[in-house]
Amino acid sequence: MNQIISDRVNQMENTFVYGENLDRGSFISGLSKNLVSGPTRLVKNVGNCEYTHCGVGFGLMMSGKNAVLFVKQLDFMMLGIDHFVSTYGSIRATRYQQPLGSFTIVTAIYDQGFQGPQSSFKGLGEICSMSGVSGFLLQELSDARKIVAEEISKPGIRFFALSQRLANEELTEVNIVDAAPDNSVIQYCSGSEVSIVCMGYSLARGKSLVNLCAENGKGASLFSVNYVEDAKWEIAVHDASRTKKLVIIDDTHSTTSLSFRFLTDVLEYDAEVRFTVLRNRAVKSTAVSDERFEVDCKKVFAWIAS
Amino acid sequence: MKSGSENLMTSEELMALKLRFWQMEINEDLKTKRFKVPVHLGLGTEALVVAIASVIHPGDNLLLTHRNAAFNLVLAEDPRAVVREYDGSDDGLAFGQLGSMNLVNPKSGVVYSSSILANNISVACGCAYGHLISQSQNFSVVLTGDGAIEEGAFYEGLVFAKSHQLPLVIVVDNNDYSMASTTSERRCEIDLSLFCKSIGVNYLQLSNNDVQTYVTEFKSLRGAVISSSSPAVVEVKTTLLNQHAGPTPGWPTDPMKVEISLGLVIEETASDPIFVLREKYGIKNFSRFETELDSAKLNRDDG
Repeated sequence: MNQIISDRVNQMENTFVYGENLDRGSFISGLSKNLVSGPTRLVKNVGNCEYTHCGVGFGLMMSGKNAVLFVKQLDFMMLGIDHFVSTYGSIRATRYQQPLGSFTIVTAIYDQGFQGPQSSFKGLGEICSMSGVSGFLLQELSDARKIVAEEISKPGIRFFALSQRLANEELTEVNIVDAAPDNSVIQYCSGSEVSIVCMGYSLARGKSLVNLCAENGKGASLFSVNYVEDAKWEIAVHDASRTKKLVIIDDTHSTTSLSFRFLTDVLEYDAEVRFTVLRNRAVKSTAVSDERFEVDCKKVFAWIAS
Repeated sequence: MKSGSENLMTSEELMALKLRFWQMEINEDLKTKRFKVPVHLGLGTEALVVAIASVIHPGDNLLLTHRNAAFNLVLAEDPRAVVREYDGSDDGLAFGQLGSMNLVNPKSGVVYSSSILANNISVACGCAYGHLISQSQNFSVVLTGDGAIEEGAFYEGLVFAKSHQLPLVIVVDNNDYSMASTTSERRCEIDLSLFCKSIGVNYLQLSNNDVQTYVTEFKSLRGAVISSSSPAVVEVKTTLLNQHAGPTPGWPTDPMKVEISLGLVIEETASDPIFVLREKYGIKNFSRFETELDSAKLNRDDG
C-alpha cells in the first residue's frame, strides 16, 4: 500500500505532503515511507495541530495547489470536522477563477477493538455523509492501485482509509471487472445467481462467500462500496435486479450506513429483488473488545441456494 | 487642518469616504429589512479596510470573517454587485450563491470568508503555503478579531505560520466586542504583543484611525513579510459604530441610531475614522467631498 501511495505522490507537482512524524519513527505505521521532495513538492514533518492541518489542506486547494495529509488514525480527524463541513461547504458554493487543487487525507481506521475507548472511531461514513467528502477504503492491491491513481489528483477532497484490523492480513490482487465512474462501486466478479455487495471492510467476507458459492456451482457477483456523495452505483443496482438475489455484508456499526441507501435504490429500481443484510449487530462497546466481524457463510449460502 | 493644494484627499481617503457612504446606504436598507441574509457592516473600520485593500495585489489572497461587507464593497469592480448578492440575485457578486457571511470574490483576491471564529486562520496558512510552493512574490492576509483570538485555532494557526515561515499577515480587528460581550466581561486580558514575542512573530499595533498612516504601515508590512517570508500580526483597535448586525434582536438601537441624512460622521471622536478625516481637511472641504459622493450611490436608478 505504501508503495502504491508513495509512487503516485512522488509524481505530483505543486504539492505539500505533510503529517505528524511522517519522515521518522514508524513513518506513520509505514504509510509515509519513501516520500521525496521535489522542486514544487514539499514533504514536511509538522507539529501536532490536526485542526490546522485540515484548514491548510483547504487553503492549498483553493490556491490551486495540492495537499496530501498523512494521519496516523481517523480519530484525529474528528478535530477537522468544522473544516470538512463548513469550509468545504463554502468552497463548493464558490466559483473560483482557477481550478481547485486536490486534498487527500491518507489515514488508518483503528477498528480492531483493542486500542482503547479513545482510539476507536470508525465512522468514516459519518464524516463523509455530513460533509460530502468522499471516502475510499483501500482493501486490496488492485482497487488501491486504481483508486489512488484515479482519485488523488482530482480537484476536491477525499480520504484514503486503511483498516488496522486487516493490517496483518496478506494483501491480494483481485481482478477488477468493472467500476463506477466515480469509483463508488468496484466489481470483482460476475455471476448469475446472487449479487454480493460489501460495505466497510467486509470484502474479505464477501470473497469467502463467493468461493463457497463457486464450490457449490453457484455463480456470484461481488462488489465493494466506497463513500461517495450521489454515488453512481448503477452497476451494482442493475446486477441485483438481474440476479434477483442480494446479499449485503456490512461490518460498520453505523446507524446511517450506506447499506440502507443502497437497498432503497435497489428496491426502487426492482421491488422483486430478494435480499438479506448481514450487519455487525454487536453492541458497540466503549471498552476494549474484539471487533472482528464473522459471517456464517454456510448459513448465507443456504439462503442463496433456497 | 490642511489648506491650498493639500485640500486634495488621497485616493485611499476618498475610498474611505465612499465606503462610509455605501455602508450607510446599506444600513438604511437594513432598517427596511430589505435583505433576507444577515449583513454585518463595518462602520468604524473604514481606515483598516481601505488600507488592507490597497495592498492586495494580483495573486495575493484575502481571507475574511462574516464581517466582510466593507471589504467586498471596496474590492468589487462594481460595489452594487454586493447589494445584488444580498438580494439573492443571479447577477450578484457571487451569483446569489453565497449571500453575506461567506461572501467572496476570488477575482479581487477575496478567496474565503468564514463566520466561524478563527476557522479562516488555518485556511490562510494553506493559501500562504501556496505562495511558497509557487515561489511567487505574494502574501496572504487573514482577518480575525478579539473574540477569535480566544479560540485554540488562533494559537495553532499562528504557531504553524511561524514554524513554516509563511508570508502571512494576521489582522486582529480588536473592537472589544464578541456579540454583546466586551472583552473584560468574558475573559482575562491577552497581551498579543507578548504572545507574538514568545513565538518570534512580528507584532504591530494601529489605533489612530488615520487612513494614510494605515496605508503606509500595511504597504511596508507587505514588503517585509514577503522579503523575510515570515508572518506578522497587526492588532488594530477599532470601534464598531453599528454594533453587531443590522436589526438584530437584543440591539434595539442598532441600526436605528445611524442616520445617513445626518452626515457621514457617526461619532465626534477619533474612534470614527471619518471624523479623523474631517478634522484633517476641515469641515468646509469635507462637506465638498461629501456632496461629490452622490454620484457613487449604490441605489442609483441607472443600475
